[in-house]
Amino acid sequence: MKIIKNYTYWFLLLFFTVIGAWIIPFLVKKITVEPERYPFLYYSSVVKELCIIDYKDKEAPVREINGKAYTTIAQADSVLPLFKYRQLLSEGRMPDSINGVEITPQKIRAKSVVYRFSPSVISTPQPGLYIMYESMPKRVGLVSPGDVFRLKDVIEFIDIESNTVNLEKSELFRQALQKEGFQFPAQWVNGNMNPRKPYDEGYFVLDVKGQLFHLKMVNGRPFVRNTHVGSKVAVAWFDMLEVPDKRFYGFLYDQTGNIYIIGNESGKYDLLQLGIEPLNLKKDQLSILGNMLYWTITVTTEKGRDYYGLEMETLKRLSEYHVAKTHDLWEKSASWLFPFYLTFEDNSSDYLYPRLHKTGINGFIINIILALLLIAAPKRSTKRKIQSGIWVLVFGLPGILATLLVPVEK
Amino acid sequence: MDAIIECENITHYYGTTLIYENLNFEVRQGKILGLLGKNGTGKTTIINILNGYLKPRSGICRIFGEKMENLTPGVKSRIGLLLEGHIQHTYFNVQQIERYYSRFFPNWKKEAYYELLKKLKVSPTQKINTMSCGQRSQVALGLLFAQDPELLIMDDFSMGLDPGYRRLFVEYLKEFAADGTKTIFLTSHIIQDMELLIDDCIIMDYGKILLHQPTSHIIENFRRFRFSADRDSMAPDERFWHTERIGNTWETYSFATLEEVTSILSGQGAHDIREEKLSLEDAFIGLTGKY
Amino acid sequence: MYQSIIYKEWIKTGKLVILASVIFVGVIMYSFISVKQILRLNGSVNIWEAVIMKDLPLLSTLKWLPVLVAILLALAQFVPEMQNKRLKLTLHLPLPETLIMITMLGFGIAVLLFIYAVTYVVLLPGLGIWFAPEIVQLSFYASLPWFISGLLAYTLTTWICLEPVWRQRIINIAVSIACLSLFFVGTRSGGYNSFIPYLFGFTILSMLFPFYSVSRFKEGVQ
Repeated sequence: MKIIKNYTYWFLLLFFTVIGAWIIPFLVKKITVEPERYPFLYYSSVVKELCIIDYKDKEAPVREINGKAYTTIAQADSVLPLFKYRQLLSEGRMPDSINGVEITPQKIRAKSVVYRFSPSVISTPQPGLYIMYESMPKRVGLVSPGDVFRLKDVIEFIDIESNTVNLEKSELFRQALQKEGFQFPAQWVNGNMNPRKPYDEGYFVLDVKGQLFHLKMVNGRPFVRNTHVGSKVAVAWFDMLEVPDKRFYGFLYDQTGNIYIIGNESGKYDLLQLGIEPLNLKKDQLSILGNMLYWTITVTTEKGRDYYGLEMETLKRLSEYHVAKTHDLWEKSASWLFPFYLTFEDNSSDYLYPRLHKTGINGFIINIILALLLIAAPKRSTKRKIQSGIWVLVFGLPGILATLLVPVEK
Repeated sequence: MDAIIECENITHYYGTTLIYENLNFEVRQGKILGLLGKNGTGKTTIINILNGYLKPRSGICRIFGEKMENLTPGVKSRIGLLLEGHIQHTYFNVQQIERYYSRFFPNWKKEAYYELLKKLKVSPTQKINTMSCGQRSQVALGLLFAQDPELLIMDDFSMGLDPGYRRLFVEYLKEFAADGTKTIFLTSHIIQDMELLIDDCIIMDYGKILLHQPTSHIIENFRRFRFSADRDSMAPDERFWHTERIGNTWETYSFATLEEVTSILSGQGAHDIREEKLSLEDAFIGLTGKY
Repeated sequence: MYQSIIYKEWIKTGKLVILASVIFVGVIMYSFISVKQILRLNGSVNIWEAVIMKDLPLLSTLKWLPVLVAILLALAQFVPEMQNKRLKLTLHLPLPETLIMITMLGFGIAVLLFIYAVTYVVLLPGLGIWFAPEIVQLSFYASLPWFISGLLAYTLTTWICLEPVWRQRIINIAVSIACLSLFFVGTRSGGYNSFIPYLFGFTILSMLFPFYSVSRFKEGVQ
C-alpha cells in the first residue's frame, strides 16, 4: 500500500496538473478572448485594385489599399459593380460592360465562384461510404441512387434496402477502374455528396500510386479516367466544386500547398495554378470569391491574413495585401501566465486529442516566481520542497495548484 | 505471560490539540483490560492507533509483536474487533453476515453465533439495519464469539445499550474469557458493571494515563473520605484526588489508609473524618473528577 | 475468502445491478425500436444518407447511461463502507489490504464490463441488420467514449467516496467532473479515434486512485 501510495501521489499530481493546464487557460481564454478583426477586401473590376470594404465606416465605406477613399455609399457601390450588382441593378445603375466585356445577370451568376477551405475538411473522420449520383439524369435534379459504395481495397456498391452488396454493379465498376490502371487500395475518395447542386461530377480518387482518377456514373455505367494529374504534381487533396459554368472540377492541393484548378475541358484535366503563396494544409484557411473578371482570395495563417486579387482567366496575381495578426488580450495574458498550455479541441480538426501550445519564454518568469514562493513557504520538508519546486518550475500555475490540491501525508 | 499489546511513547495531536504525550502501556495475555475515561479523552483514538487506522504523531504499537500499520492477515485473524457503536455491515441479514464472515476464519464457530441470537426475537432473514441497537450489539458480539479470536478489542461496547443488554454483554464476555487464554482490551465511558469484568484498569485523563492498576487494587484501596473543616481551602497533596467542599463538609479520595489520611488532614484542622468504600464507578469519579 | 468479499459486494449492489441491467435491456430495445421507426418513417435511403452526410447519431439514447450506472454502482459499493467507517471492518479481514481493495474494485469493473460488453454484443450486430459495417463501426466509435467514461467514472467515484476528508472530496469531485467532460465534447462520430488509446490508458491507471484514498483512510487523516 505504501509503495502504491508513493507512485500514485506523482500520478495524481500529473493528473491534476494536466487538468489544470487545460482548464485554467480555457477559463482565462473565455474571459479574455476577442474576435479576430480583419478587414474584408474585394478586388475592384473598376479601379483594378484590392479595396478594403467596411460599410460601417460612414467616412469611407470603400478604400483602395493604396489609401484612396470613396466617401459616399453610391461611389462605393459603383467601384464594386460585380460585388454590389444586385444593389446597382435595383437602382438602374449597373453598367452594360466592364473592360469591354458585356455584363448580364446570367453571366454574373454563371461565372460566380464561392469556395472555402479549412484544414478540418481533411482532418475529419470519414465513414468510408459514398453516394454515386447519375451524372446525366434523364430528368432535372439529382436523384438518390438507393445504394452507396465503399472504395478502399475494393469497390463495392451496397443496396440500401436489402443491405447487401450489389455484386454485378460492383464488378462493373471494379473492371472499369482496373482497365484504366487504378491500383487499389484507394488513399482517399473526394466528391460532393450534397444532392443540391446543378450537376454531378462524381468523385476524384487517389490510388495507392498517387495517381488521381475521375470516377462517375454516366447512364448507369462507370466512367473512369486517369487524370494524369498525379504525374505532374504530388497530389495532397482535392475538393470538388461543381461551378455553374463547368469551367473546372474543383481545387487540387499539392503536397507543398500550391493550389490548382483542374480544368473541365474536353477530358484533358489541365492544371492551372492559382497565383498565391503555398498554403499550410494543416493550419491555414482559404476563401475564394470569384466573379466573371477577377477572383479575390483570402488566406488566413497564424501570422495574419493575406489577400490576393487574381485575373479570372489566367489566375495570375494582380495585387496582394497583408494584414498582420494583432495579439489580443488572450494571447498577451497567455504568454505571461503560462509558457505552454493544453487543449483537446482545435478548429483545424474534427479530431480530439491533447495538443500542447507553446506561448513563449515569458511564461517561465511566473513559473520561477511561483517555485520560489513555494520553496519559501513553511510546512514542507526540504526534500518535498525541492521536488515540488522543480514541478512548479516546469508546470507553473497548474503545477502549483496541483501541489496544493493533491493531499500529501504530513 | 506475554504482552499481547504493547504501546510505546504514543504521542498524538489533532491539529494543535494534544491528545496524549508519551503514552505507554501493555496488555498481557489472559487479562481483561479496561481503558476507562470520560468522553474525549482519546479512547477511540487509542483503538484506532492500535489497529492501524490512525497514524500517531510518534510512537509505536505492537499487537502479537507486529507493528500496528502493517498487521499481517495471520495476526488480524487472531484479533476480534468491535467498533464503537457495534458497527457492522448492516445491509446483510442475520444469516448472510454469518456466512460472509465464516469464510475468513478457519475456526469459525457457527453455533456460538446462533446460540446468542436464539435469545433475540429476530428471524434469520431479518436485515441488521432493521434491528434495535441492543439486537445489533448481540449480532456483533455473536460474530466475535464465532470468530473465537485470541484477542478481543472492543471500543465502547456499552454505548447505547439498555442496562439489561449491557449486563448480558458483560456476562457473555466473562464466560468467553473464562479459560484464561483470551485477552480482552476494551474501552468504556460507562463504568457500571465493569468491575464484574475487567482485571486491570487504565484510567485516562485528558492527555495522559491517570492510573494503570488491577481493578481489585482500586476497589480494595481507593477510598472516599468525608470530613469537616472550617476553612475555604485545603493544602494540595499528591496523595489526594479531587478534594472539594460540598456545603459544610469536605470530601477527598485517596489510596492512603484512614490513619495516614487522618494524620495528614488533622494538621489542617479537619475533624470527623469518615472513610467510605467505593464501587468502581465511584472510584472512577474520584479519580477523574465530576466535571 | 475472496468469494466472500464478492458476496458482500453483491449483497450491497445486487438490486442496483439488476435494475441497471433492466434499464440497459430497455434502452437497447428502445434503440432498436427507434432506429426501426426512423427507417420506416423516412426510408432507409434517407437515413443512410443522413448518417453518411450529416453524421446522424443512431445510439444517442445511450449517451449518459454508462456513466450514470457506473457512478451509482460505485456509490452503492463504497458509501456503505464509508458510513460509520465500516471500511475498518473490511480492512481488518485477514487478507492483504491491497487484495481486498482489488477484489472490491474488480467486482465493480467486472460488472460494468459485463453490462457494457453485452450491450455492444447485442446492439452492434443488431444495427448490422439494417446498416453497412461502416455505419455500425461509426456508431461504435461514436459511443466508445461514453463507455470508457463509464469505467473512468467508476474509478473516480470510488476515489472520491473513499477519500476521508470532505474538503478534499469536493476538490476531487471538481477535477473528476472536468476530466469526465472531456468524453462528452460534441464532435463528429469518430472524432475521438486517436484520443481513445490515451483515455483508455488513463482509465486503467486511474484504478490506482482509490488506493491513495484508502491509504489516507488508514492514516486516519481528518
